[in-house]
Amino acid sequence: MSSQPPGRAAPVATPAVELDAHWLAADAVAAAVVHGMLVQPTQADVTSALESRDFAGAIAAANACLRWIAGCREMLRGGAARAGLEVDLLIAAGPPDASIDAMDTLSPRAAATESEARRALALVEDAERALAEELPLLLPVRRTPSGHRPAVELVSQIERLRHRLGLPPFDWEAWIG
Amino acid sequence: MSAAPAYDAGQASPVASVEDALRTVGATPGEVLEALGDYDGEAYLVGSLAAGFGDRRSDVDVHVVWDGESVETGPILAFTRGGACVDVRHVGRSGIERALASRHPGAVPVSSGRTPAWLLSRWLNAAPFDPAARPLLTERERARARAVIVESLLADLAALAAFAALAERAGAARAWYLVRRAGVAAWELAATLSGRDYLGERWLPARSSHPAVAAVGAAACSARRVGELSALLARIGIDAEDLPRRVELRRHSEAEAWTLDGRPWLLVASRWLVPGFEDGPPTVAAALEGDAASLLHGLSRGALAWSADVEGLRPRLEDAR
Repeated sequence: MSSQPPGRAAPVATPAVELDAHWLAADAVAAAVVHGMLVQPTQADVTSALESRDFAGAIAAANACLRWIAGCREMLRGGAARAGLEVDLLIAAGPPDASIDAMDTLSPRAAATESEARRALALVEDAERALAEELPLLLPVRRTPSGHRPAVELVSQIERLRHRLGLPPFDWEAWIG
Repeated sequence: MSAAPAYDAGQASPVASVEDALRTVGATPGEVLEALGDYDGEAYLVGSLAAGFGDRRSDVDVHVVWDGESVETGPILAFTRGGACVDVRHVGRSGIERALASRHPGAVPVSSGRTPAWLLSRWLNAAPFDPAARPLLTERERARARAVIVESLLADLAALAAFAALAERAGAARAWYLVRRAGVAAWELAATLSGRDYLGERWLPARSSHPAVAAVGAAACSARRVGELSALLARIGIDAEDLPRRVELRRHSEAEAWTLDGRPWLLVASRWLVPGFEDGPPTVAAALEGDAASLLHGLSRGALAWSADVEGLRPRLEDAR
Protein backbone atom coordinates (compact mmCIF):
# COMPACT_ATOMS: atom_id res chain seq x y z
CA MET A 1 0.00 0.00 0.00
CA SER A 2 2.61 2.53 1.02
CA SER A 3 4.66 1.74 -2.09
CA GLN A 4 1.84 3.07 -4.27
CA PRO A 5 2.04 6.61 -5.55
CA PRO A 6 -0.41 8.77 -3.61
CA GLY A 7 -3.82 8.86 -5.20
CA ARG A 8 -3.45 5.75 -7.31
CA ALA A 9 -6.62 3.72 -7.21
CA ALA A 10 -5.89 0.82 -4.90
CA PRO A 11 -7.16 -2.48 -6.27
CA VAL A 12 -9.60 -4.46 -4.20
CA ALA A 13 -7.66 -7.49 -3.07
CA THR A 14 -8.68 -10.70 -4.81
CA PRO A 15 -8.97 -13.26 -2.06
CA ALA A 16 -7.59 -16.73 -2.60
CA VAL A 17 -10.30 -18.06 -0.31
CA GLU A 18 -13.88 -17.05 0.37
CA LEU A 19 -14.66 -14.15 2.66
CA ASP A 20 -17.19 -13.83 5.46
CA ALA A 21 -19.42 -11.18 3.88
CA HIS A 22 -20.85 -10.06 7.21
CA TRP A 23 -17.37 -9.61 8.66
CA LEU A 24 -16.34 -7.65 5.60
CA ALA A 25 -19.44 -5.45 5.52
CA ALA A 26 -19.45 -4.77 9.27
CA ASP A 27 -15.98 -5.03 10.79
CA ALA A 28 -13.60 -4.79 7.86
CA VAL A 29 -15.43 -1.83 6.34
CA ALA A 30 -15.04 0.14 9.57
CA ALA A 31 -11.33 -0.68 9.62
CA ALA A 32 -10.97 0.17 5.93
CA VAL A 33 -12.69 3.51 6.45
CA VAL A 34 -10.44 4.41 9.37
CA HIS A 35 -7.47 3.28 7.28
CA GLY A 36 -8.55 5.52 4.40
CA MET A 37 -9.70 8.51 6.40
CA LEU A 38 -7.26 8.60 9.30
CA VAL A 39 -4.32 6.21 8.83
CA GLN A 40 -3.40 7.37 5.33
CA PRO A 41 -3.63 11.12 6.06
CA THR A 42 -1.65 10.83 9.29
CA GLN A 43 0.96 8.70 7.52
CA ALA A 44 1.25 11.49 4.92
CA ASP A 45 1.64 13.92 7.84
CA VAL A 46 4.70 11.98 9.03
CA THR A 47 6.31 12.23 5.61
CA SER A 48 5.52 15.90 5.11
CA ALA A 49 6.73 16.83 8.60
CA LEU A 50 9.97 14.99 7.94
CA GLU A 51 10.36 16.81 4.62
CA SER A 52 9.86 20.08 6.51
CA ARG A 53 12.49 18.97 9.03
CA ASP A 54 9.88 19.18 11.77
CA PHE A 55 11.17 16.09 13.54
CA ALA A 56 9.07 16.37 16.70
CA GLY A 57 5.99 16.94 14.52
CA ALA A 58 6.86 13.84 12.48
CA ILE A 59 7.03 11.73 15.64
CA ALA A 60 3.78 13.22 16.98
CA ALA A 61 2.10 12.37 13.68
CA ALA A 62 3.61 8.87 13.81
CA ASN A 63 2.06 8.34 17.24
CA ALA A 64 -1.31 9.47 15.92
CA CYS A 65 -0.97 7.15 12.92
CA LEU A 66 0.06 4.13 15.00
CA ARG A 67 -2.90 4.76 17.29
CA TRP A 68 -5.32 4.53 14.35
CA ILE A 69 -3.51 1.48 12.94
CA ALA A 70 -3.91 -0.31 16.27
CA GLY A 71 -7.55 0.78 16.34
CA CYS A 72 -8.08 -0.73 12.88
CA ARG A 73 -6.68 -4.04 14.06
CA GLU A 74 -9.12 -4.06 16.97
CA MET A 75 -11.99 -3.33 14.58
CA LEU A 76 -10.95 -6.28 12.42
CA ARG A 77 -11.33 -8.38 15.57
CA GLY A 78 -14.90 -7.09 16.01
CA GLY A 79 -14.24 -4.14 18.28
CA ALA A 80 -16.62 -1.23 17.80
CA ALA A 81 -15.72 2.38 18.47
CA ARG A 82 -17.42 5.69 17.82
CA ALA A 83 -14.77 8.00 19.17
CA GLY A 84 -11.06 8.30 19.69
CA LEU A 85 -11.43 7.62 23.39
CA GLU A 86 -13.35 4.42 22.68
CA VAL A 87 -10.55 3.39 20.32
CA ASP A 88 -8.11 3.98 23.18
CA LEU A 89 -10.11 1.67 25.44
CA LEU A 90 -10.19 -1.04 22.77
CA ILE A 91 -6.44 -0.77 22.39
CA ALA A 92 -5.76 -0.76 26.13
CA ALA A 93 -7.86 -3.87 26.74
CA GLY A 94 -6.77 -5.67 23.58
CA PRO A 95 -4.17 -8.35 22.97
CA PRO A 96 -0.50 -7.57 22.31
CA ASP A 97 0.02 -5.37 19.26
CA ALA A 98 3.36 -4.36 17.78
CA SER A 99 1.97 -1.01 16.59
CA ILE A 100 1.22 0.04 20.14
CA ASP A 101 4.45 -1.30 21.55
CA ALA A 102 6.24 0.84 18.95
CA MET A 103 4.54 3.94 20.34
CA ASP A 104 6.22 3.35 23.67
CA THR A 105 9.55 4.09 22.01
CA LEU A 106 8.53 7.27 20.16
CA SER A 107 8.88 10.58 21.95
CA PRO A 108 7.88 13.81 20.17
CA ARG A 109 10.10 15.86 22.47
CA ALA A 110 11.37 19.22 21.31
CA ALA A 111 14.92 17.92 20.82
CA ALA A 112 13.85 15.01 18.60
CA THR A 113 16.45 14.19 15.95
CA GLU A 114 16.17 13.38 12.27
CA SER A 115 17.20 9.77 12.87
CA GLU A 116 14.43 9.39 15.48
CA ALA A 117 11.92 10.86 13.04
CA ARG A 118 13.09 8.53 10.27
CA ARG A 119 12.76 5.57 12.61
CA ALA A 120 9.23 6.71 13.41
CA LEU A 121 8.41 6.82 9.71
CA ALA A 122 9.85 3.33 9.22
CA LEU A 123 7.74 1.99 12.11
CA VAL A 124 4.63 3.58 10.62
CA GLU A 125 5.36 2.19 7.16
CA ASP A 126 5.91 -1.32 8.51
CA ALA A 127 2.75 -1.19 10.63
CA GLU A 128 0.66 0.24 7.80
CA ARG A 129 1.94 -2.39 5.36
CA ALA A 130 1.03 -5.18 7.80
CA LEU A 131 -2.44 -3.69 8.33
CA ALA A 132 -3.05 -3.26 4.60
CA GLU A 133 -2.33 -6.96 4.12
CA GLU A 134 -5.03 -7.81 6.65
CA LEU A 135 -7.65 -5.57 5.09
CA PRO A 136 -9.85 -7.25 2.46
CA LEU A 137 -10.33 -3.92 0.70
CA LEU A 138 -8.52 -0.62 0.58
CA LEU A 139 -10.11 2.74 0.04
CA PRO A 140 -8.14 4.74 -2.50
CA VAL A 141 -6.53 7.90 -1.16
CA ARG A 142 -9.58 10.14 -1.29
CA ARG A 143 -7.91 13.50 -0.88
CA THR A 144 -6.12 13.49 -4.22
CA PRO A 145 -7.39 14.35 -7.71
CA SER A 146 -7.07 10.75 -8.95
CA GLY A 147 -8.21 8.98 -5.80
CA HIS A 148 -11.45 10.80 -5.08
CA ARG A 149 -13.71 9.23 -7.70
CA PRO A 150 -12.60 5.58 -7.15
CA ALA A 151 -13.14 6.08 -3.42
CA VAL A 152 -16.67 7.34 -3.98
CA GLU A 153 -17.44 4.36 -6.28
CA LEU A 154 -16.14 1.85 -3.74
CA VAL A 155 -18.21 3.45 -1.00
CA SER A 156 -21.29 2.97 -3.18
CA GLN A 157 -20.47 -0.73 -3.70
CA ILE A 158 -20.01 -1.23 0.02
CA GLU A 159 -23.38 0.37 0.76
CA ARG A 160 -25.08 -1.98 -1.71
CA LEU A 161 -23.53 -4.99 0.01
CA ARG A 162 -24.55 -3.74 3.47
CA HIS A 163 -28.10 -3.19 2.26
CA ARG A 164 -28.20 -6.72 0.79
CA LEU A 165 -27.04 -8.17 4.12
CA GLY A 166 -29.60 -6.23 6.13
CA LEU A 167 -27.07 -3.92 7.76
CA PRO A 168 -27.89 -0.25 8.30
CA PRO A 169 -26.04 2.35 6.21
CA PHE A 170 -22.50 2.88 7.39
CA ASP A 171 -21.99 6.09 9.39
CA TRP A 172 -19.57 7.63 6.87
CA GLU A 173 -20.13 11.15 8.08
CA ALA A 174 -18.97 10.25 11.57
CA TRP A 175 -15.57 9.19 10.29
CA ILE A 176 -15.22 11.65 7.44
CA GLY A 177 -16.31 14.58 9.60
CA MET B 1 5.48 30.23 40.58
CA SER B 2 3.59 32.85 38.63
CA ALA B 3 0.40 32.09 36.77
CA ALA B 4 0.59 32.71 33.02
CA PRO B 5 -2.40 34.30 31.30
CA ALA B 6 -4.91 31.51 30.83
CA TYR B 7 -6.85 32.92 27.89
CA ASP B 8 -4.99 35.14 25.50
CA ALA B 9 -7.54 37.18 23.58
CA GLY B 10 -5.18 37.39 20.62
CA GLN B 11 -6.23 38.09 17.07
CA ALA B 12 -8.39 35.87 14.91
CA SER B 13 -5.71 34.29 12.76
CA PRO B 14 -1.98 34.41 13.43
CA VAL B 15 -1.27 34.59 9.68
CA ALA B 16 -0.88 38.00 8.03
CA SER B 17 -3.21 37.15 5.16
CA VAL B 18 -4.85 34.26 3.35
CA GLU B 19 -2.45 34.89 0.50
CA ASP B 20 0.54 34.36 2.79
CA ALA B 21 -0.93 31.21 4.29
CA LEU B 22 -1.73 29.66 0.91
CA ARG B 23 1.80 30.27 -0.35
CA THR B 24 2.83 27.30 1.83
CA VAL B 25 0.97 24.95 -0.51
CA GLY B 26 1.72 26.91 -3.68
CA ALA B 27 -1.86 28.11 -4.11
CA THR B 28 -3.47 31.51 -4.49
CA PRO B 29 -6.72 32.86 -3.03
CA GLY B 30 -8.01 33.30 -6.57
CA GLU B 31 -7.67 29.68 -7.59
CA VAL B 32 -9.10 28.44 -4.29
CA LEU B 33 -12.15 30.70 -4.74
CA GLU B 34 -12.41 29.46 -8.31
CA ALA B 35 -12.47 25.89 -7.01
CA LEU B 36 -15.34 26.84 -4.69
CA GLY B 37 -17.57 27.84 -7.61
CA ASP B 38 -20.67 29.85 -6.79
CA TYR B 39 -21.47 30.18 -3.11
CA ASP B 40 -23.52 32.26 -0.73
CA GLY B 41 -21.92 33.60 2.41
CA GLU B 42 -18.41 34.46 3.51
CA ALA B 43 -15.41 32.19 2.84
CA TYR B 44 -12.84 31.69 5.60
CA LEU B 45 -9.58 29.80 5.55
CA VAL B 46 -9.47 27.53 8.61
CA GLY B 47 -7.27 24.56 9.55
CA SER B 48 -3.53 24.30 9.97
CA LEU B 49 -2.66 26.91 7.32
CA ALA B 50 -4.86 29.53 8.97
CA ALA B 51 -3.32 28.66 12.33
CA GLY B 52 0.13 29.49 10.99
CA PHE B 53 1.20 25.85 10.80
CA GLY B 54 0.89 23.60 7.78
CA ASP B 55 3.38 22.44 5.21
CA ARG B 56 3.39 22.01 1.45
CA ARG B 57 1.17 18.91 1.66
CA SER B 58 -1.47 20.47 3.89
CA ASP B 59 -5.10 20.60 2.85
CA VAL B 60 -6.69 23.96 2.18
CA ASP B 61 -9.63 23.93 4.61
CA VAL B 62 -12.34 26.43 3.75
CA HIS B 63 -15.54 27.09 5.65
CA VAL B 64 -18.23 29.06 3.85
CA VAL B 65 -20.44 30.65 6.50
CA TRP B 66 -23.87 32.11 5.87
CA ASP B 67 -26.53 33.60 8.13
CA GLY B 68 -29.12 30.91 7.63
CA GLU B 69 -30.80 28.34 9.78
CA SER B 70 -29.42 25.59 7.57
CA VAL B 71 -27.47 22.76 9.09
CA GLU B 72 -23.90 22.07 8.10
CA THR B 73 -23.28 19.91 5.04
CA GLY B 74 -20.56 17.32 4.65
CA PRO B 75 -17.23 18.15 3.04
CA ILE B 76 -16.86 18.88 -0.65
CA LEU B 77 -13.44 18.25 -2.13
CA ALA B 78 -11.83 20.19 -4.96
CA PHE B 79 -8.23 20.48 -6.09
CA THR B 80 -5.96 23.35 -7.09
CA ARG B 81 -3.88 23.22 -10.26
CA GLY B 82 -0.89 22.30 -8.10
CA GLY B 83 -2.79 19.34 -6.62
CA ALA B 84 -3.56 20.77 -3.18
CA CYS B 85 -6.80 19.39 -1.75
CA VAL B 86 -9.40 22.07 -1.03
CA ASP B 87 -11.81 20.79 1.62
CA VAL B 88 -14.92 22.96 1.56
CA ARG B 89 -17.61 22.94 4.22
CA HIS B 90 -20.76 25.05 4.23
CA VAL B 91 -21.63 26.11 7.75
CA GLY B 92 -24.80 27.89 8.84
CA ARG B 93 -24.37 30.55 11.49
CA SER B 94 -26.79 28.49 13.55
CA GLY B 95 -24.24 25.65 13.52
CA ILE B 96 -21.62 27.96 15.00
CA GLU B 97 -24.05 29.12 17.66
CA ARG B 98 -24.85 25.49 18.53
CA ALA B 99 -21.16 24.69 18.93
CA LEU B 100 -20.71 27.75 21.14
CA ALA B 101 -23.68 26.71 23.24
CA SER B 102 -22.33 23.17 23.82
CA ARG B 103 -22.76 21.91 27.33
CA HIS B 104 -20.63 18.99 28.52
CA PRO B 105 -18.82 18.99 25.16
CA GLY B 106 -16.83 15.85 25.91
CA ALA B 107 -19.93 13.74 26.47
CA VAL B 108 -20.92 13.00 22.89
CA PRO B 109 -18.57 10.63 21.06
CA VAL B 110 -17.63 11.77 17.57
CA SER B 111 -15.55 9.24 15.70
CA SER B 112 -13.64 11.61 13.48
CA GLY B 113 -12.77 13.91 16.35
CA ARG B 114 -14.81 16.71 14.72
CA THR B 115 -16.34 17.66 18.04
CA PRO B 116 -17.67 21.16 18.75
CA ALA B 117 -14.34 21.83 20.45
CA TRP B 118 -12.40 20.70 17.39
CA LEU B 119 -14.47 22.94 15.12
CA LEU B 120 -14.21 25.89 17.48
CA SER B 121 -10.43 25.54 17.57
CA ARG B 122 -10.48 25.94 13.76
CA TRP B 123 -12.86 28.88 13.86
CA LEU B 124 -10.68 30.70 16.40
CA ASN B 125 -8.00 30.89 13.70
CA ALA B 126 -10.31 31.65 10.77
CA ALA B 127 -8.96 34.12 8.19
CA PRO B 128 -11.46 35.68 5.74
CA PHE B 129 -10.67 35.53 2.03
CA ASP B 130 -12.19 39.00 1.76
CA PRO B 131 -9.97 41.26 3.92
CA ALA B 132 -12.95 43.56 4.51
CA ALA B 133 -15.12 40.77 5.93
CA ARG B 134 -15.88 40.73 9.65
CA PRO B 135 -14.06 38.21 11.86
CA LEU B 136 -15.83 34.86 12.05
CA LEU B 137 -16.20 35.11 15.84
CA THR B 138 -16.77 38.18 17.99
CA GLU B 139 -14.56 38.71 21.05
CA ARG B 140 -17.37 37.42 23.27
CA GLU B 141 -17.73 34.33 21.07
CA ARG B 142 -13.98 33.76 21.11
CA ALA B 143 -13.99 33.72 24.92
CA ARG B 144 -16.89 31.29 24.92
CA ALA B 145 -15.15 29.10 22.30
CA ARG B 146 -12.09 28.82 24.51
CA ALA B 147 -14.24 27.89 27.50
CA VAL B 148 -15.92 25.09 25.49
CA ILE B 149 -12.55 23.81 24.29
CA VAL B 150 -11.10 23.77 27.81
CA GLU B 151 -14.17 22.00 29.17
CA SER B 152 -13.98 19.39 26.41
CA LEU B 153 -10.27 18.76 26.99
CA LEU B 154 -10.88 18.47 30.74
CA ALA B 155 -13.60 15.88 30.15
CA ASP B 156 -11.30 13.80 27.93
CA LEU B 157 -8.44 14.18 30.39
CA ALA B 158 -10.59 13.13 33.36
CA ALA B 159 -11.86 10.04 31.54
CA LEU B 160 -8.43 8.98 30.25
CA ALA B 161 -6.74 9.50 33.62
CA ALA B 162 -9.52 7.58 35.39
CA PHE B 163 -9.35 4.72 32.88
CA ALA B 164 -5.56 4.64 33.17
CA ALA B 165 -5.96 4.17 36.94
CA LEU B 166 -8.54 1.42 36.29
CA ALA B 167 -6.23 -0.33 33.82
CA GLU B 168 -3.28 -0.12 36.17
CA ARG B 169 -5.39 -1.53 39.01
CA ALA B 170 -6.54 -4.34 36.67
CA GLY B 171 -2.93 -5.17 35.87
CA ALA B 172 -3.57 -4.55 32.15
CA ALA B 173 -0.39 -4.91 30.14
CA ARG B 174 -1.22 -1.76 28.24
CA ALA B 175 -2.17 0.54 31.11
CA TRP B 176 0.83 2.66 30.11
CA TYR B 177 -0.92 3.43 26.82
CA LEU B 178 -3.84 5.12 28.60
CA VAL B 179 -1.35 7.02 30.77
CA ARG B 180 0.30 8.26 27.58
CA ARG B 181 -3.04 9.28 26.03
CA ALA B 182 -3.99 11.15 29.19
CA GLY B 183 -0.61 12.87 28.95
CA VAL B 184 -1.38 13.96 25.38
CA ALA B 185 -4.75 15.36 26.56
CA ALA B 186 -2.95 17.28 29.31
CA TRP B 187 -0.46 18.59 26.75
CA GLU B 188 -3.34 19.77 24.52
CA LEU B 189 -4.87 21.50 27.52
CA ALA B 190 -1.61 23.23 28.44
CA ALA B 191 -1.07 24.41 24.86
CA THR B 192 -4.62 25.77 24.77
CA LEU B 193 -4.12 27.59 28.08
CA SER B 194 -1.01 29.23 26.59
CA GLY B 195 -3.19 30.79 23.88
CA ARG B 196 -2.27 28.49 20.97
CA ASP B 197 -5.76 27.70 19.77
CA TYR B 198 -5.55 24.65 17.58
CA LEU B 199 -6.35 21.06 18.49
CA GLY B 200 -4.53 18.09 17.00
CA GLU B 201 -1.64 15.85 18.04
CA ARG B 202 0.37 16.54 14.86
CA TRP B 203 0.96 20.19 15.76
CA LEU B 204 1.42 19.80 19.53
CA PRO B 205 5.21 20.24 19.45
CA ALA B 206 4.75 23.40 17.35
CA ARG B 207 2.28 24.75 19.91
CA SER B 208 4.75 24.26 22.76
CA SER B 209 6.85 27.41 22.57
CA HIS B 210 5.70 28.44 26.07
CA PRO B 211 8.20 26.87 28.54
CA ALA B 212 5.46 25.53 30.79
CA VAL B 213 3.76 23.83 27.84
CA ALA B 214 7.09 22.36 26.75
CA ALA B 215 7.57 21.00 30.27
CA VAL B 216 4.14 19.35 30.26
CA GLY B 217 4.89 17.92 26.80
CA ALA B 218 8.22 16.48 27.92
CA ALA B 219 6.58 14.79 30.91
CA ALA B 220 3.71 13.54 28.73
CA CYS B 221 6.14 11.90 26.33
CA SER B 222 7.73 9.74 28.98
CA ALA B 223 4.98 8.99 31.53
CA ARG B 224 4.18 5.28 31.87
CA ARG B 225 2.67 5.02 35.35
CA VAL B 226 -0.30 6.72 36.97
CA GLY B 227 2.05 8.19 39.59
CA GLU B 228 4.01 9.96 36.85
CA LEU B 229 0.75 11.19 35.33
CA SER B 230 -0.26 12.63 38.69
CA ALA B 231 2.96 14.66 38.86
CA LEU B 232 2.34 15.85 35.32
CA LEU B 233 -1.24 16.93 36.06
CA ALA B 234 -0.12 18.80 39.15
CA ARG B 235 1.80 21.08 36.77
CA ILE B 236 -1.53 22.32 35.37
CA GLY B 237 -3.31 22.46 38.72
CA ILE B 238 -5.21 19.19 38.42
CA ASP B 239 -5.42 16.66 41.26
CA ALA B 240 -5.24 13.29 39.50
CA GLU B 241 -6.65 11.42 42.50
CA ASP B 242 -9.82 13.48 42.24
CA LEU B 243 -10.53 12.46 38.64
CA PRO B 244 -11.84 8.87 39.09
CA ARG B 245 -14.54 10.28 41.39
CA ARG B 246 -15.64 12.61 38.61
CA VAL B 247 -16.15 9.91 35.97
CA GLU B 248 -19.59 8.34 36.31
CA LEU B 249 -20.42 4.95 34.83
CA ARG B 250 -23.74 3.61 33.59
CA ARG B 251 -25.04 0.93 31.30
CA HIS B 252 -24.71 2.06 27.70
CA SER B 253 -28.06 3.07 26.23
CA GLU B 254 -27.46 0.72 23.28
CA ALA B 255 -26.57 -2.28 25.46
CA GLU B 256 -29.55 -4.59 25.95
CA ALA B 257 -30.05 -6.65 29.08
CA TRP B 258 -30.37 -10.39 28.36
CA THR B 259 -30.68 -13.44 30.55
CA LEU B 260 -29.44 -16.77 29.30
CA ASP B 261 -29.66 -19.85 31.47
CA GLY B 262 -30.05 -17.71 34.56
CA ARG B 263 -27.03 -15.52 33.87
CA PRO B 264 -27.35 -11.78 33.16
CA TRP B 265 -25.65 -10.38 30.09
CA LEU B 266 -25.55 -7.21 28.08
CA LEU B 267 -26.00 -7.62 24.34
CA VAL B 268 -23.75 -5.08 22.64
CA ALA B 269 -23.81 -4.10 18.96
CA SER B 270 -26.10 -7.08 18.23
CA ARG B 271 -23.02 -9.20 18.61
CA TRP B 272 -21.23 -9.50 21.94
CA LEU B 273 -22.65 -10.86 25.17
CA VAL B 274 -20.80 -9.06 27.94
CA PRO B 275 -21.32 -9.99 31.60
CA GLY B 276 -24.02 -7.69 33.01
CA PHE B 277 -23.35 -4.60 35.12
CA GLU B 278 -26.84 -3.92 36.43
CA ASP B 279 -25.49 -3.14 39.86
CA GLY B 280 -22.15 -1.88 38.71
CA PRO B 281 -20.16 0.83 40.50
CA PRO B 282 -21.42 4.38 39.92
CA THR B 283 -18.00 5.92 39.35
CA VAL B 284 -14.54 4.82 38.29
CA ALA B 285 -13.38 5.58 41.84
CA ALA B 286 -15.80 2.92 43.13
CA ALA B 287 -14.74 0.55 40.36
CA LEU B 288 -11.14 0.77 41.56
CA GLU B 289 -12.27 -1.03 44.73
CA GLY B 290 -13.90 -3.87 42.79
CA ASP B 291 -13.33 -6.02 39.72
CA ALA B 292 -11.32 -3.51 37.69
CA ALA B 293 -10.52 -5.96 34.91
CA SER B 294 -14.18 -6.73 34.17
CA LEU B 295 -15.06 -3.06 34.22
CA LEU B 296 -12.27 -2.22 31.82
CA HIS B 297 -13.47 -4.97 29.50
CA GLY B 298 -17.06 -3.73 29.72
CA LEU B 299 -15.94 -0.22 28.85
CA SER B 300 -13.85 -1.41 25.91
CA ARG B 301 -16.78 -3.43 24.52
CA GLY B 302 -19.16 -0.49 24.78
CA ALA B 303 -21.37 -2.13 27.40
CA LEU B 304 -20.75 0.80 29.72
CA ALA B 305 -20.91 4.49 29.02
CA TRP B 306 -19.37 7.29 31.04
CA SER B 307 -19.60 11.00 31.62
CA ALA B 308 -17.12 13.29 33.32
CA ASP B 309 -18.14 16.08 35.66
CA VAL B 310 -15.49 18.77 35.30
CA GLU B 311 -17.38 21.45 37.21
CA GLY B 312 -15.05 23.32 39.52
CA LEU B 313 -11.81 22.18 37.88
CA ARG B 314 -9.60 25.22 37.34
CA PRO B 315 -6.61 24.26 35.22
CA ARG B 316 -3.81 26.80 35.07
CA LEU B 317 -0.50 27.09 33.39
CA GLU B 318 2.38 27.64 35.76
CA ASP B 319 5.89 28.81 35.31
CA ALA B 320 8.12 25.98 34.07
CA ARG B 321 10.69 26.48 36.80
